[in-house]
Amino acid sequence: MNIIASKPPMVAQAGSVSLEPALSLIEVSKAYGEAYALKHATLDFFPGEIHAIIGENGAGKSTLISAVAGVVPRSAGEIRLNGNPIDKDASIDGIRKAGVAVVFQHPALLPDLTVLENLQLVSDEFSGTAGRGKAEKLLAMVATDHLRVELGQRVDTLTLARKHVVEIARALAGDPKVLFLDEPTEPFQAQDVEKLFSVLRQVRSRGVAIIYVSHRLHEMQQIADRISVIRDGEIVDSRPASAFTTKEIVTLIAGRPIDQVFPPKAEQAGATVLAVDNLSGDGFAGISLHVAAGEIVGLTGVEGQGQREFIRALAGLQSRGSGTITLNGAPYGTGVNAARAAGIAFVSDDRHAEGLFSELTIQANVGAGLMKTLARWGLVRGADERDSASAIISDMNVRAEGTQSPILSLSGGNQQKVLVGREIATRPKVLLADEPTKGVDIGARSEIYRKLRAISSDGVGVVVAASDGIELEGLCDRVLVFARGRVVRELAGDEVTDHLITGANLSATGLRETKTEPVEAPVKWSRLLGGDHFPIAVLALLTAAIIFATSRASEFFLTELSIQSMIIFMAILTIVCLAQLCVVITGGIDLSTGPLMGLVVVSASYLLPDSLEPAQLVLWTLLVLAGATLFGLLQGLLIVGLRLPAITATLGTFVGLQGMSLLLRPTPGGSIAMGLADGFSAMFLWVPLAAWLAIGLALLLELVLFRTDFGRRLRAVGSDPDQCQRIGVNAGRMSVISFTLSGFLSGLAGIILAGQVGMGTASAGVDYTLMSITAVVLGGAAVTGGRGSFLATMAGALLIQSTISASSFLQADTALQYCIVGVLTLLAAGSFSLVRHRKAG
Amino acid sequence: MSGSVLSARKLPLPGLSALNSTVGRASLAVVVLLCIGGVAAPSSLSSTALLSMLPFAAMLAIAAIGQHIVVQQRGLDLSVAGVISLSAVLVTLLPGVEAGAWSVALYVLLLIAVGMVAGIVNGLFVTIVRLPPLVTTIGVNAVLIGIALVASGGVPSKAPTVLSSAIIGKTLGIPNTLYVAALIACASIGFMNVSVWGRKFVAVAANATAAHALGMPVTLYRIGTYAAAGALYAIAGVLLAGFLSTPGLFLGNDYILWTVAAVVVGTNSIGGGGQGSVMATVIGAFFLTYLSQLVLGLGFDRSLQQIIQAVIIIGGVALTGLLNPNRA
Repeated sequence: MNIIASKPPMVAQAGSVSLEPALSLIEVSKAYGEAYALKHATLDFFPGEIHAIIGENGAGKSTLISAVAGVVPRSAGEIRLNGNPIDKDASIDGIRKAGVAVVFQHPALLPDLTVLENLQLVSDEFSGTAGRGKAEKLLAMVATDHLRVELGQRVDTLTLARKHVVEIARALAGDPKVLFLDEPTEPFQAQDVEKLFSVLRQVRSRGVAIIYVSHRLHEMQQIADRISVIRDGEIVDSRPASAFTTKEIVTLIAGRPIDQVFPPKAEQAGATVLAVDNLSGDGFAGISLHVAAGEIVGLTGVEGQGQREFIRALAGLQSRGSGTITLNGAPYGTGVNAARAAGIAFVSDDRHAEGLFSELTIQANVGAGLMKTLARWGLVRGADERDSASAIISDMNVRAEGTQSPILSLSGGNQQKVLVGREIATRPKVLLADEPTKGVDIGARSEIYRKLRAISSDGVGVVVAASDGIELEGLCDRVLVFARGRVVRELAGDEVTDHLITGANLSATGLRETKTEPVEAPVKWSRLLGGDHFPIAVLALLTAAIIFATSRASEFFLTELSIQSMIIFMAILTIVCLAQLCVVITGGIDLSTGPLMGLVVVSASYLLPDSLEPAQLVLWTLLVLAGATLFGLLQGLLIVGLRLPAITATLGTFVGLQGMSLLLRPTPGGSIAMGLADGFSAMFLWVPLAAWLAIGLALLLELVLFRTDFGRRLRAVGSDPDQCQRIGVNAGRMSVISFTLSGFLSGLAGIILAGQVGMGTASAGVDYTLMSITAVVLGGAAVTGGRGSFLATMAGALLIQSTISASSFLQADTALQYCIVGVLTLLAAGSFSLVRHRKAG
Repeated sequence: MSGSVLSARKLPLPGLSALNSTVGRASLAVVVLLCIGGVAAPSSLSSTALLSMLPFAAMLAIAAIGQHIVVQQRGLDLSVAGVISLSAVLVTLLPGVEAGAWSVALYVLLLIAVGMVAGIVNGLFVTIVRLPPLVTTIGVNAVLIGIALVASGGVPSKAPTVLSSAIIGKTLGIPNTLYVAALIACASIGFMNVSVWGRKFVAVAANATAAHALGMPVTLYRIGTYAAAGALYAIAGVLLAGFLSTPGLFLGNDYILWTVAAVVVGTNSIGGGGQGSVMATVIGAFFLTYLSQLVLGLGFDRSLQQIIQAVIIIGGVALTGLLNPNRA
């Protein structure tokens, strides 16, 4: 892909700061409607320089990265790489190949793929044995010993810190010229941060332009050559790191002197409201905390030290173990309802995921949290609900048209004000706020701080979990520093400063330098149970048992003729199941497989009549097959192009194709060439040709899935299409290909079926849709995509077909077949789901 | 990403306010279709034609409301076919043709309970076992159809006379089925808008995680949704059995697509969420029923009807995606 204009690239001089910028942003803006996430940003990034960009949460740092990396298209402005302009709609992949790599804050990794496969997805240098060694070396370079990562581990089994290690390795793969890092140290301990910095210095000496984005001031001052400050989407200043004083940067970040942002602190604390003694739970242990009226207590720590788990446990959103919590002297039970009933209110750190009902109005968002007070006789008093909403709008100074405005029409800051206002309106005894100003502009922050201080003086206990030292310093009377699930330092009064908080974080984590993170080795048998190929053994055993039992019950079952027929039907079912898995592995579903087979049978009754010469028969067969493939392609294009949900779209074609078949053959008729049946049942090494075909296809697809780049991409798309987009794997294209494959394979299955049916019957294939889904599920594939095995799916198909064949020999009617297939689906899918979730949970 | 935080979404098509609401769009579709029908086959708008169509529309609407609530909870329910078939089969088998009104009523209540049980099984698999709704309801559907076939022995039977005459009958010139559908539609619309449970239902549909953080029993609501849907399908099944008198064994199969299509024609987004409109789905049911009658009236057969349905469902989903600004 040619994203760079024809001008030859400058050769950067390694090791020295060249005068030509490696990357230039000229007046780059990103607007969403009226609001600017990034406004006229102009910056130069030089080779061999570490350029830090600092700003609050939501200041526009991540938007800047996304705009450069092509994750979101910029609205205006120019971006130049080595002096050559990058197209506005250049693909992510193209930009990456041109030398821009990003370490994302939320690692862009595919959870169902292994560490090695994730690396292989972005660069082909890691294939083969030599590539394996290369990958190992790269990971060893990035990680300290206690964050060692095995190449064969699936990413979803890694801790957050280890995922970050892989993410950094992924970005370094392929020797980028420009390297972005978005909050790379968030889950890291002191020694890991040191390790990363030494890696960055090494990379810098190779002449790479490094852009380091963070809100951690002390880290940037340690590593950066140049610092730029971003606020509300604008670059407000940019200087060599040494030309800034800490105080200057802090004022620039906030946009005004700190004492104007934060309300004055409490004079003195009142009676204890919340008393937590020796509380333990998932992720924290032995925590004691007493919060008095009039006091705001901060909880902090490096990401993942238990502070979040602790505050969520207080809110009843996470389990807690031993220890006591009392609210004004009275304990409360576990669970959200008990906590809320006792007088605990909670503001989540993730506004979109856990706070807002984004499709609803302001009033409905407020009402959802106040149901208890608004209800009478099971009905919601609408007038009271409206009044509560208006009260919050005026009280919190929310800029909104009215209570009926959609909550999404508000800016992030105003949305957050509504949420904080709603929690305050529940008249809590204690308000817990997890990162209450994340993604909130400075005006709204100031307002939220004042409100928190105001309710605190009114006697409400306030606990705030935050990672920003400046925020903690300005807002809190006391700060508890967490490390490894324990409180390691308590700062009060004059000690509550950004400097001391940072110091406490580092020394606290530093103490445990020698301790290694536990290597999470899953218990062997459960790894086996969760493995992709485990189902094969179980399914094969069950199939054998059914065949054996039936042969004992009916002497006709194992005659040559019936075996041969069963094997051919097994082949047909296997092939259509392979088709289904092609789509399922990418996270889709194809309900049209069965009716497509039916339409192929009907077409065969016209196009492949008995009168054809063998050569003609082959030709026309291939044409029918091409038609089915074309249908798959069109269906894929339709679904991807119009962004239709695969379920509904293929439900449509499921019926549409049946209609077509019925239109062509209202009643069964037309005889299909005998050559078709003879050809596919011709014996070859004691087994019909159709069976060899099915086995060959299953093996081939399995090989492709697990051994090739194409297969990795298929699984990647099913594993997480959003991450695929960020690393430049074209999810849409893979989807179209999977539907095309499905069309081809269903067509092939239909052709073999046509030979067996012998005449055009509109309803011939319909049942195969259900059976193909069942087999895929039996084979242990994740119906949500990303995981599956063609061989295991084949084993599933064998079990289903042997069950059906057996039941017809045992004189069981079709009714029982329905029941058996249904129960099999539920049992198989259910047990796989339970095993996997137990492992994950 | 901070992008979505900042984006102040505007509603599309500012000039045409009717198109901004799901009910408005669905109504417009019906009006356009009625106009086409009036021109192409004027007889399809005669009172006889409409009166013969309305009961089917009403019965579809009831089942479609069931599908609607499941879809709004971000699910999909293919077991609609199984529940309709099973309840239709059982109502023809259990009470007997000559059964009295009270005995029939009792059995109908029993069948509604059966539908709820099927729904609860769906709900348990989706919530506790965490199976995707599609797989769950495909499996449960197959089991239900199997049971219906076993119970009937493969032979359709006749519904109780009392039931048939009550269902086919009219009150004040309007088919009784219409009253049942109207009652259910109004009850569910009122439920969602003013009752505490209904409002929580909407909240859980809009954002289950946020609802959980506010102490709402998300799992219970999800299971309850499937149970209520099962009950509605059972009611539709009983009505169909009574109306058709001798219902076919695979009576319910068409209703998978029909109910989903009604939800889609109501331009409710298939991803679900907080914005669904039951009214729009009911209008969608009337749209589909009239359309299929029109197609038959114009002399086309069942096969073409299926193809048209396919086009409608795909087109409808595509259109919803284009018109709905909140879809990611």
